[in-house]
Amino acid sequence: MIAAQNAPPKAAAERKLSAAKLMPPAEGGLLCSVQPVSEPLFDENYLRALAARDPEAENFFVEYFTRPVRSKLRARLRSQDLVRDASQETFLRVFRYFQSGKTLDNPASLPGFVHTVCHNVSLEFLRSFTRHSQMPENAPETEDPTSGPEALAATSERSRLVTRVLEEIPEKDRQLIRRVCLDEEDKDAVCREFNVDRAYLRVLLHRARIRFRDVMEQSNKTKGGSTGG
Amino acid sequence: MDHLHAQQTQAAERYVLGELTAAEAEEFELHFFECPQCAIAVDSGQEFIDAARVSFREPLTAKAKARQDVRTPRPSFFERISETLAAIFRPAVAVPVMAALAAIAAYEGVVASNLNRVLETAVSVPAVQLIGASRGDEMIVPVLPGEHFAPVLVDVPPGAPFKTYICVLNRENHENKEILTSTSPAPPDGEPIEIQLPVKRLKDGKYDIVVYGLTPEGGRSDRISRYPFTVRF
Repeated sequence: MIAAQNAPPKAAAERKLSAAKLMPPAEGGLLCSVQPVSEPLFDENYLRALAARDPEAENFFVEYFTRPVRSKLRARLRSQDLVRDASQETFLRVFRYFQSGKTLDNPASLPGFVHTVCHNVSLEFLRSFTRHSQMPENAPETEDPTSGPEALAATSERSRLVTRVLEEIPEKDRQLIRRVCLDEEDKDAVCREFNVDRAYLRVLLHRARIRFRDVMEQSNKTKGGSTGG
Repeated sequence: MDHLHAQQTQAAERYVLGELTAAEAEEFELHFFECPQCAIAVDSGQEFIDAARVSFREPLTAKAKARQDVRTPRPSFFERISETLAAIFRPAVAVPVMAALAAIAAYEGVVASNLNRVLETAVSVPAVQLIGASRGDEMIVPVLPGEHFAPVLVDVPPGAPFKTYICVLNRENHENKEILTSTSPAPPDGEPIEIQLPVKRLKDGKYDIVVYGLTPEGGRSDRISRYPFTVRF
């Protein structure tokens, strides 16, 4: 612990995170006997660094929690804009909390704390943005809700890659994913029609998303290589 | 929940597919906030589904189309029955009748499937707070493309001695031409009643909602309030 106190907060966190990265990849199969990391990832030092507005600690925090915060908010808020705003609000609130001098009794519970803040923000956003006031007759034109060119390009790239993944899978499986994801039909009814069970659908999604991630990584590497060279 | 349990129960896939109960989802969320592997699993699942939605809306690439064209679709049940009957009853009546029946069945299937989809999809639609006739100008209820319901909120006077309210939708100035009637239990004090107006029953134009109380005898009380509004698609 003394060594950890002397080490920079991000280095301490990264040291622990690297332990998690050394574990065999659990994404290869649905069932895996990998043991979870039992050592807490965040310590008092790290919280102190957050309170002191240490940029490295803040960057690590954002990097670490962006994914779970976004996933949770996506499941609750449909609009991408709302998800983005609610993510920023969540990070802002957590930073403000620590910068105001407050801390946590148990630093290891930081993920739970962030989860609670994120949950409260999602509820507030749901309340605030799902009831709108009356639209007046002479209201100004509303802003175009479509994404900017950069976001459109990213969406188009993801769509191209997912199309590649979908083309690799059998027609029946593609139709199954289509009916469930795009048409949002009753999953039980669709599974009955395709003569498969719900576990099949989950395994199908699991394989597809693993393949999708691989293709994304390959694409990113290619881009990195081509821009670097 | 630990990582092993999350994997064994396919929690990430269940979460993305919306198969977890609220309590299970919250438990899993708590887990993936401290488990980067599960966070990646959920994120990539959501990314895949979002991108798949966009991809399915686009036309198939030439390769996939060619593969699809090679496969001859198996005749449907109705097509096979229709062919058999047509072979037996050469007179040309049987085939159109069977085709019509098949079309009706297919239509019913599509309607039922759409209905299921509407009933099982969580959506966030802005509700418009209506204001009573004597308190302001007319309200506009915008109907958004693709929505099946237009939610509105109406207030009931505090302390009104009714346990149930009857809300009647009329074309304005046609109070005897009721389009829809719905009953609602009295909301908590200060809270409005939310009414989901089915879009299929609405057109551009002026409407009003009249609120009555349900008397102990099962009849309507005198009119409590009236909320005029204009529907705009």
